[in-house]
Amino acid sequence: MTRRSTTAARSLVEAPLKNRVRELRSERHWSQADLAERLTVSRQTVNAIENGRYDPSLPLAFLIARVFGLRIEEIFDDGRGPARGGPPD
Amino acid sequence: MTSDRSTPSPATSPARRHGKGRSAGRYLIELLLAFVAYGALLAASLAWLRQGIDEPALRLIVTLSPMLSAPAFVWVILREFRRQDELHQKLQFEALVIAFVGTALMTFSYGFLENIGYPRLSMFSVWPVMAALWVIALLTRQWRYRRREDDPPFDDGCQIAR
Repeated sequence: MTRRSTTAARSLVEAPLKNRVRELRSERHWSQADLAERLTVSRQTVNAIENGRYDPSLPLAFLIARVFGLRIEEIFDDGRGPARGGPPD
Repeated sequence: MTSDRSTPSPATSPARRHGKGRSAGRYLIELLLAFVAYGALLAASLAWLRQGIDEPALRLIVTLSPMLSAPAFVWVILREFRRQDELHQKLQFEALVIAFVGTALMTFSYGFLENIGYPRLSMFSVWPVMAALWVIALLTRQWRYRRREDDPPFDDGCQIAR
């Protein structure tokens, strides 16, 4: 992997994810505590995820997707389009 | 990925099963028991040493006997750490790294100062330094994830879920 692609890959990993957790939670009229209970995490964690200050682990992201009945890509977005594999641009 | 029936039920997950209140209460009880064991061993050890022990090996064992309670502390604290969610484990890890590195810097620096005549300090002073750094680092790291002024307000007044 070239230095340029390594840098691109690093920036891809470090860029904060955007997510729709707050929007999806509000649609269901759940409080942060309600969602936290469904995810078995603390309310602070839900708040940090909603505000983009913390990106959840892959298992937690899967659990969030399951709780909302959606695909992970429908909730989290890294702003780089669909993830289909291959080297970053 | 769509919703499926394999979603772990919060009702059966460890965090849900035990509940935040019960979990915290049990942690405090377990920690208290460890402290009671430590205190009892320390009191017995000091009382025995005060009476005078001539045998060097026995004196060594009696002196170190309060540390027999150390595994209990490790067990209790590790259990509590494993009960925390991933964000709080990350916070703890970062705080412990800061405390670990900070303690190394401070103790080594002071060790050099001792070479030029600064008073020699007891090894007992090391852990309070690490604990103080851990608390400061934890509070600082937690503050980073706290609500900002421009964040939408919490929409509930409920207790923390776990």
